[in-house]
Amino acid sequence: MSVCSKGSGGNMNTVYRAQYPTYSSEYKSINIRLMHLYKKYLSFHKSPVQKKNNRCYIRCYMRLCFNKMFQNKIRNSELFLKFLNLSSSRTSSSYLQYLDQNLNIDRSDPQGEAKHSRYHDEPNHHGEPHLQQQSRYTPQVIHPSLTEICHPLEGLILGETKAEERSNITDSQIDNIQFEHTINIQKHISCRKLNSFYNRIGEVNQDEIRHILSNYKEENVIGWYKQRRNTDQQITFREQVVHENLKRALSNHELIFLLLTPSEITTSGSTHKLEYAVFRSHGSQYCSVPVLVSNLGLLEEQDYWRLSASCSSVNYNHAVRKHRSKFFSSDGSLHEVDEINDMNNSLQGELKMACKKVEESERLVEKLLADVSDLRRMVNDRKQELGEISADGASTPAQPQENVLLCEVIKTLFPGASLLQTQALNFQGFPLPEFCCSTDHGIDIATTLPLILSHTLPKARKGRLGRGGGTSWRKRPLRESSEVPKRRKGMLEETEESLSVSGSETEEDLIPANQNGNDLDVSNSPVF
Amino acid sequence: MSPEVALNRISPELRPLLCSVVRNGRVGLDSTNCLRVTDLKTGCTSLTPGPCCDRFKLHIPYAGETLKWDIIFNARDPELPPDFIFGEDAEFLPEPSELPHLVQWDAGDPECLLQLVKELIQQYHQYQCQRLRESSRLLFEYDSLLEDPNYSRSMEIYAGHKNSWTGEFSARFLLKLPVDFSNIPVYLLKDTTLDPGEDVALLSVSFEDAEATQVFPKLYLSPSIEHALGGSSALHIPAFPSGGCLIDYVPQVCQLLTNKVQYVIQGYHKRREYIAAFLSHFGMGVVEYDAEGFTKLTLLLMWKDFCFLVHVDLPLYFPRDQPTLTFQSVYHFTNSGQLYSQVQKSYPYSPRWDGNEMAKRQETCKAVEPATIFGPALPRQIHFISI
Repeated sequence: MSVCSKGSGGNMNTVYRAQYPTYSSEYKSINIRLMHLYKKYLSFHKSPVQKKNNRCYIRCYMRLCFNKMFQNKIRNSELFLKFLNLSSSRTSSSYLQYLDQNLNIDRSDPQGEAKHSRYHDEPNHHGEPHLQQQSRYTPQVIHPSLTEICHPLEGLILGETKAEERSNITDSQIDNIQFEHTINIQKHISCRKLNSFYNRIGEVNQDEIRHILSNYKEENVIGWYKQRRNTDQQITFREQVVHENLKRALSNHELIFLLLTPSEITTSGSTHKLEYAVFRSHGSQYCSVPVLVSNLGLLEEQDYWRLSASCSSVNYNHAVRKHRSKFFSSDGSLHEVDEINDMNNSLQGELKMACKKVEESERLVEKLLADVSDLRRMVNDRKQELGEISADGASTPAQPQENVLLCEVIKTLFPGASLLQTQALNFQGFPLPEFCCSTDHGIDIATTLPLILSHTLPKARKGRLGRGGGTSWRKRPLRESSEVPKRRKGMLEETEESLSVSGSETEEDLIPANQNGNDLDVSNSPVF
Repeated sequence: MSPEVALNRISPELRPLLCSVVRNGRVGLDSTNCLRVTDLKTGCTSLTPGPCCDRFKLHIPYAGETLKWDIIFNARDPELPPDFIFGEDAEFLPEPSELPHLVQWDAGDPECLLQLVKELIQQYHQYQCQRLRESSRLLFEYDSLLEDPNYSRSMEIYAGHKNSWTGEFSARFLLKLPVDFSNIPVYLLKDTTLDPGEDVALLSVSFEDAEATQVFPKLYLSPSIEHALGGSSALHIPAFPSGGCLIDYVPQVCQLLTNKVQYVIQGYHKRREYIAAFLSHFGMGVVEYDAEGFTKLTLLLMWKDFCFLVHVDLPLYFPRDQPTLTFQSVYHFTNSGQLYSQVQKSYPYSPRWDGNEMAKRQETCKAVEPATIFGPALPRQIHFISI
């Protein structure tokens, strides 16, 4: 019986008949045989041809056997069944003598002559064997094992004790610690008779306990048990004394006492019940401990096994040890668990790297967005300024106008360079040749911007210009610097919308005219 | 369950032990009834032929309560001593070494079980006395009685369980009063239909609370004593005084009972003296008298050739209570066919007179009374009978 001392327990009813299904049928069979035997006895009496000795012998024999059977003296079921077979065949004196040996028949007077007169062949000289209340006087020879089991029993209980501390977190309380003490009953050792390891006043004999335990250790003893029929489910005086003495002898203050009390429910004896309870002492009081029979009934689905059921079997432990290394590492953890942990660590590393990259790109994007917003702010400011300037009615063209002068200049200076003539750049800053302006604006650069042609390089530029279009470079005089603001204005308007067009003010353009009254040395680089 | 039924059902090996208990088992102060056995059961299987009962409940009177102890034998091992379940007193755990009849259990001794039960009762008494420590007031009562040798050895205490709800703690003291009943005339005792048993008077005092504010005393007398004293209504004990204690109250009750017994004894002697005096005075006029209890006396007297009977009934508490005189005519019948008679109680009487004095006074009285009683009824034609 495997019992865990937790949960709630109670009574358990067992029906003896269910455990011994052949009982009633064998009992019936025995009864029938006895009746046949009795009839045979009567038939012997009626038949005159039967020998007197045999007839009387069987008669006396039957009477004796019946009496002994009813007095519960016959212990050998095989012998009894052999006796019953007498009814089916003729008997021989030698066989009867063999049976006599087991029934303590007086060999000097097997027929009981001394008790009877010489002529005692009449039925009235013998007590008629009869079956009395059949339900009560069934001989115990039928099921000696049953009788042994049903008599008072006691013994020792082996197992182990576990203490568990469980912390429950609820909505109202964050720290709720419960201590659960579980006693696992794994095995029992029954004593051959009552009062085997204690005397009449409850003193415990430790030598006898060791003898009962034989190969088991005293540390494995977690309690003792006793079975009492037809008594209350209450620990008795002697059991209390024995329990206290056993606690001291085994140095185990958590010792338990299992009490089993089978009893009859019905007067006919058809139904019996078995109640059990486990007691533990607290000082002078004995309180009942809840019992859970873990190998009977269904487990609740919401119960998780937090601890594995322990097993003290040697073979089991041997098999587990043999294959343990395949599943467990040296520190006791599962191999798969270690691998999973390693993989988890690797994933964590990769995640960190990815996070770092994301962070860097995010920062770059953030910086670019900041630059863009600055530029936008500048554009808006300029727009506002221009808007204020032209607030009296100048209509600002909705669409930015093409800097036709610039377009014509580039066409003049770089006639074949489509990349320079384009008005659009991609996001990487590369000019897009397909957006070149192919419109002839009809502007004569030589007359409109003579300085541009004068500032070009004499040969190389001429050669290039000759190839490109015919516009000649020349130096731009300083007096023409007043025209620069107008050109700048036009250029600024072009750069309003398109980021691909950048401002191309030269140093000269940026220098105010009044500051440069004298002829300044101008660079030989082309000026747009 | 009658003792015979119990003995028939018990296992044969255990029968002598149980016989001693049910027939001779008287334990404790209340020994008017033997111990009672119920709930006989067996520890054997149903296959075992009967009788095979080996466990039963024993009802033991103790301190006004009835203890119901389970006694468990083993029919298969009858030589083993029994085990006990002490009913509701789960905390009662006697010391086994202090039970000599358990240590030296002898299954062949029929008295062994009875003696063991008596030893257990003694330990149970000690256990109950220990429980009185829950109340200092009751402990004081116990200690004070313990000091008095008259009560210390004749006391049973039952301390009830403390009420966890109200915190109240109750206890009952049962004391055997040291009153001498040996001088009570035998005739008074043998008229009872019940087995008289031992003549005993028990005083039960129940404390319903630990502070002794609700105390209820009761006096229990054995049937013979109760009959001798004139029935249950003859004796009324005083109520427990508020603030009083047992050491004062018990002797008071004891004295009251003793006085009552003395009255009864004196009454007997006085009656005997009275009858003797009447016998000596009236001599041949005595028709009959109660020679055992001296409670009745019948005289045949003559006054002026007129004969009449005088029946004298002496009460139990004579001479405190006046005797009753019944004058009866020997000539006249009433309409119902009875002899004409009349009861007289008003005549000179004093309880301080001795028997002779009473006889003399009665003599004078009887000379006058008939004229008063029978005068108007005397027919003139009736012949008188001379004594």
